[in-house]
Amino acid sequence: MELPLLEETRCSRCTDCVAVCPTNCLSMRGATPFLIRPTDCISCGLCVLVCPSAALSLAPQ
Amino acid sequence: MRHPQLLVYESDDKLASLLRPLAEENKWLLRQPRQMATCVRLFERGGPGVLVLRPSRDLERELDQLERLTWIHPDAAVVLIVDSEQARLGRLAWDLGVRWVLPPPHNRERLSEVVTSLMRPYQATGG
Amino acid sequence: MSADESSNPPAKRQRRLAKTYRWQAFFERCAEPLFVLDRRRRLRYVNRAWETLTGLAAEQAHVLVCRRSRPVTADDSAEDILAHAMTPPPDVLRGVSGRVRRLLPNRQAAARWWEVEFWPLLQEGEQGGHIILGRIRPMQAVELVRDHALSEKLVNLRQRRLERYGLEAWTSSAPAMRRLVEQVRLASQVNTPVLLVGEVGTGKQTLARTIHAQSARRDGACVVLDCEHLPPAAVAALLAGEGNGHEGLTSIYLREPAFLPRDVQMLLAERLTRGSAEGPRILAGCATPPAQAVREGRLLDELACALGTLILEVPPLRQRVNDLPDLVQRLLERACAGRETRVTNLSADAWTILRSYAWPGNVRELYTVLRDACARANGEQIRVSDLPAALRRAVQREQAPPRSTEGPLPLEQLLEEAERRLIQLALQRAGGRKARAARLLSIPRPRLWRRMVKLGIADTEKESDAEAEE
Repeated sequence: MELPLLEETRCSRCTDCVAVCPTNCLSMRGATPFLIRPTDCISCGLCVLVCPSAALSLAPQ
Repeated sequence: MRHPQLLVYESDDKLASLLRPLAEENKWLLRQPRQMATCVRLFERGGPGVLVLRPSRDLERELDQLERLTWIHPDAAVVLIVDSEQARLGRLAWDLGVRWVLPPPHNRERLSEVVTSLMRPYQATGG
Repeated sequence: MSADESSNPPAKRQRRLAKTYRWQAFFERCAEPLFVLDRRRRLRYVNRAWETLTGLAAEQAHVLVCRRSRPVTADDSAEDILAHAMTPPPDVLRGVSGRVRRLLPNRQAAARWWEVEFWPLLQEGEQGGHIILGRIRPMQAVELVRDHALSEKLVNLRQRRLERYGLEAWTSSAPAMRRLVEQVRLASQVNTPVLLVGEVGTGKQTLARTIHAQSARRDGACVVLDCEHLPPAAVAALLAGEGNGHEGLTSIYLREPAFLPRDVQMLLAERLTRGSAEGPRILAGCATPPAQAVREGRLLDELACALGTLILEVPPLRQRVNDLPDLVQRLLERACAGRETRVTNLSADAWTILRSYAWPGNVRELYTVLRDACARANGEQIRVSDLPAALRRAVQREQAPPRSTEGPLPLEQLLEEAERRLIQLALQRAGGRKARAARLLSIPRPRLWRRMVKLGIADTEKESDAEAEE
């Protein structure tokens, strides 16, 4: 199972990852996205693809 | 990325099976680390969460690592599971920074009640 | 004898030796048992108090070599038991003074516990090494009752944690902080309830543990209760002393008591106003002034009054900017405690950011930022690129790049990529079996097969498995 990994030094707070997630498992928490329902993540990778600052990657858990 | 995670550290699967339905219902990630060092790594990667810890016979080493864990990750919430003859161990655990010491009975209801309330700040959004 | 000494006239040397003997006399007259170990941890000196305590004469003591770290039992020889008691822990050999508790088992009588403190003194010359000055404090029976039945290792583990809560962590040039430290000292000498008021993350809980660690109650446990995030019934039961009563619990810190149910608040207020010296000492912490919580109806007035005998105001981090260098140093040590490579400093630019940031989350936020930055840092220094972007933006007032309304969103590619990953995930969960994967994906098997070919996803299913699935 792979979950998104966030590099906080690059996050621009654009919230596109939250918007694009097909299972609504992401949410903003303060200035950065937060994986609020990790068991709903299907590792589709759309958040990674859409991030403008390459702050996200998928990593095996 | 930070996510709500429930770690259960024990020598078997008993506590984890009692908590699995609760984790599934709330969509928390339930992990069963077999080493204390793994707990530290999981908190580093996924942010703080709740650790339910039932010490084994190797309790001196586990508590030594627990002391370091609560020192480096004071934001993580540890629940220590003790048996009825382990009152002194429970008192030591308070000093080592655990959030709650749970004596028997260790049934689903009592475990779920403590875990649910401790998990609240880790699943909430906002500042 | 060094060259220097041999060139001194005899009279000067005589005076110097006489002074040395005066110092030895100080040690001899000292009421506390003292000893000195040489570089090889051989016992070189013991004072009279030491002889009295151990019942061993100085001449007999010189055979002892204090290298035994393995625990001892009542079956070991008296010399081994003694040598073990005076064996310095590893940190001391590295030059850090330390204090441990050592168990002296005894077949005939009750076991004794000693608190042994070690001071390593670095020696000159190429050989280096430390001689070690030690002091022994026999522990009182009343302290023993609480600790006995815990192994020596656990007793020392508890000591290690207790020693993290010293007053040195709070040194500051700010007057408000100095006042706070004096109040902490006072609080640790009395039994009255203490109310700590300060923003989130200012260190109220740490201060409560510090008060406990500095007080006569330190040999009992300090319980920290998160009234907001623990089941109210469980907290109420603990406060009421159900189960084991309050045996061994000498201090209780209540984080945000306004979250306690009203009846519990009432009972607590009553107990505090009754004011018996027995039972645990109560401390509490509030992020907002208690008067406000009372006005809002969350905190009972009676409880606010009962807790308000001694109020300590903890200043926010932004009012302690001059403390940042020392604080950061201390927090870096803490953050790197589990790592091999220690981060010891920050780049000038990173410092600027730390100094300019408002720190709404105070010390807790600072610690989290430093801890995460340590994990990222390459080597001993934290640079700006190791700090979270949100921090940099807040300080430099950078505009976050606008939402990528202008950026391309190639639908075909994105959908194709998402489909590829979903199919891969389904295959993984199905153990490579296409029929099962298709069921997971809720599509007919031929469609799955076509998509796998189109997307170039390898088919790893064995023929035997495929047949079994029919």
